[in-house]
Amino acid sequence: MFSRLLQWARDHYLLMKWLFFGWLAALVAVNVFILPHHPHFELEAFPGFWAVFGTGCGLAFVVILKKVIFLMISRPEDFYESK
Amino acid sequence: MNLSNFFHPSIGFFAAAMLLLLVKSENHKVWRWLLPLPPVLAIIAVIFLMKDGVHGVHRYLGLELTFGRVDKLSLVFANIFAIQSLIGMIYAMHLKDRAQHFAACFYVGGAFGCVFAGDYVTLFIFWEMMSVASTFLVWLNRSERSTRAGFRYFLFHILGGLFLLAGMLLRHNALGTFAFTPVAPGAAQFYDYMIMIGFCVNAAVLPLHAWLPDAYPEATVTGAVFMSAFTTKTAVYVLARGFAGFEILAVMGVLMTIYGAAYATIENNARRILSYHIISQVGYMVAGIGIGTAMTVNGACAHAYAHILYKGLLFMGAGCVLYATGTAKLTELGGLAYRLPWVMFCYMVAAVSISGFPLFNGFISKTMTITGAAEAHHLWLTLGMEVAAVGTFLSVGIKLPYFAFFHKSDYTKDIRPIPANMYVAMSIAAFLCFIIGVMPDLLYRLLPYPVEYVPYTSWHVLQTLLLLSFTGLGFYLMRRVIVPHAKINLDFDYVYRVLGNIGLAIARWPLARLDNWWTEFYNRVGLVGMLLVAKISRLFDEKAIDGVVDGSAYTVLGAGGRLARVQTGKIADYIGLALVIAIGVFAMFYLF
Repeated sequence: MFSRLLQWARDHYLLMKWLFFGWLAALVAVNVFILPHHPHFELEAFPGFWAVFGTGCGLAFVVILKKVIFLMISRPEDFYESK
Repeated sequence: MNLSNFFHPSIGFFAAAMLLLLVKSENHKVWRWLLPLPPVLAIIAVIFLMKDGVHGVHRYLGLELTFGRVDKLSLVFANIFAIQSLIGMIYAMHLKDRAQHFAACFYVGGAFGCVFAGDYVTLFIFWEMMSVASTFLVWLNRSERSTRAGFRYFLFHILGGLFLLAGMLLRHNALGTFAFTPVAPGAAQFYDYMIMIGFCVNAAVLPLHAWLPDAYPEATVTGAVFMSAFTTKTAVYVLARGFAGFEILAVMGVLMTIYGAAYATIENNARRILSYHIISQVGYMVAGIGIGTAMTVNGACAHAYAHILYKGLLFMGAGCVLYATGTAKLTELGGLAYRLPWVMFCYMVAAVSISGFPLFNGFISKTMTITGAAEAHHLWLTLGMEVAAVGTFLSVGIKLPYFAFFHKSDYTKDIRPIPANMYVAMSIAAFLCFIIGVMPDLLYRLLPYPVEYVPYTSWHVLQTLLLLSFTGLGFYLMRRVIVPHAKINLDFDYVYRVLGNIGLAIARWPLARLDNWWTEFYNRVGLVGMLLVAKISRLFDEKAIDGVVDGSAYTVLGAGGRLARVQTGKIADYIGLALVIAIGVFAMFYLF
């Protein structure tokens, strides 16, 4: 059952993509109406703050770690054994 | 001892370990049914028998040893330890290797011993028992890498144990008691901090954490499931018991959450990714304890409870992949969802749980800690934990399953069939992750303080969905950058190795030379004097004592011969023997 479902999802890649974008848009739309009663800080009261936070942190995480830190601290797999 | 009030769950595990010594590997189909019994006994004891209070107090050498301190804090940890030990034992039931079960029984028994210990001496005994037994869970993977990793693991835990020992002795010297009681942050002395460092080693607090991602990926498939649950969570328990409200823990905890998630983002080995995520998730607990309000301590305990379930399930899923394919490296995997669909399903339940999706147990525990931090006006700590939540979902919720289960190219080599018991264990864990997620009160009523927090408000749910869904967008945009590479990453273990080599160099050169010089001095000066004394003694001996002593000398010789057979020269044998002796001593205490 899983396999067929997954194969269907793979075959309908574009549909899945637009469904995902639609879901994101719907969440932000709902955020306009549902806001925290007692925001813990000012920005939280703006619709879409956590959407920007999630995307921004996700992008920053990957770029900083994979493009900067990883290049500095990665070593061959047998690094310790070969010493 | 009154059994209607207290039954020590360790007893069942130690008894099972001893019985395992008597059975034969070929009768595995019979004795494997013994394995779930101690956990079932533990579950019955924890849920139905235990009553709050102090039980099992024994006096020895003027010390008062407390084996059974029962209160809400110890019970919530004992509750999840009992459940997870059942899941772990079921997951391991196919194994014919008695040694692994033996080590697991001692390990779990040690964890229960720590949870119910009311004084530092008792705590220390069980603490060390856990270190030794868990080292065997690494060694029993029986590879060159696991042997080396096991030694490093053991050395580091000896260091942590020594901090604890030194701290508790100095504390006893100052206060005249070994009682394990909370320390007020303002009144903490240097010995309290030594004890805290000892605890922090096991909680993998930065920068004392690197033993964890070094050793856990090298442990046995089933051993890693046990280790993911007990060592760090026992440390969380003792920190909650002794050091709630220490601000340093709050800061270090938040750093841990981000650090672990960050390393997981660039790691390639699935079990190492999960190991880094233990550091990250334990960070939430350490931070909750450090902030120290009723809500955050509750959050820490709830998160420990939830974490044990989903992290065990994640390790079971990754263990199944390793068992089936022989590798846990993402660069060598792909498309496994078609070959191992039920493993994928269970893994994904754990992945959404750890990410804190609504309807799963991570949501009702993680948001409690984060909201608690916000309500205690720790804005930066709150935001730090939210950043870590993004990193968690990114690495263990999307990256790992994407490259192991969904990504092309598909894994095409042969797959070893997964035993049914592994599926049963994973299904139980997945069910519990879900049921606690939808019925939070099952967990909330176990927590040490009354719970006022309501997780399912429209804002909490929406905020979580926004954060995680848009993290998904971040992954989608970066999916070609985050591709794993077949490399390892330097961590603080590099520093440990440098320090270790410096220590070795000091031992080799100045200390060894000093030793040689002293031997020489002793030969020339000390020995002459000693020979003279010996000559006089001999005269006395020949005349007076020979007759009396000869008889006893033969007795000693006989015993010495038998002892020599035990001395195999292998350090693993000695450590195992020490463990057996320790359990004998424990049994004597308990029974008499």
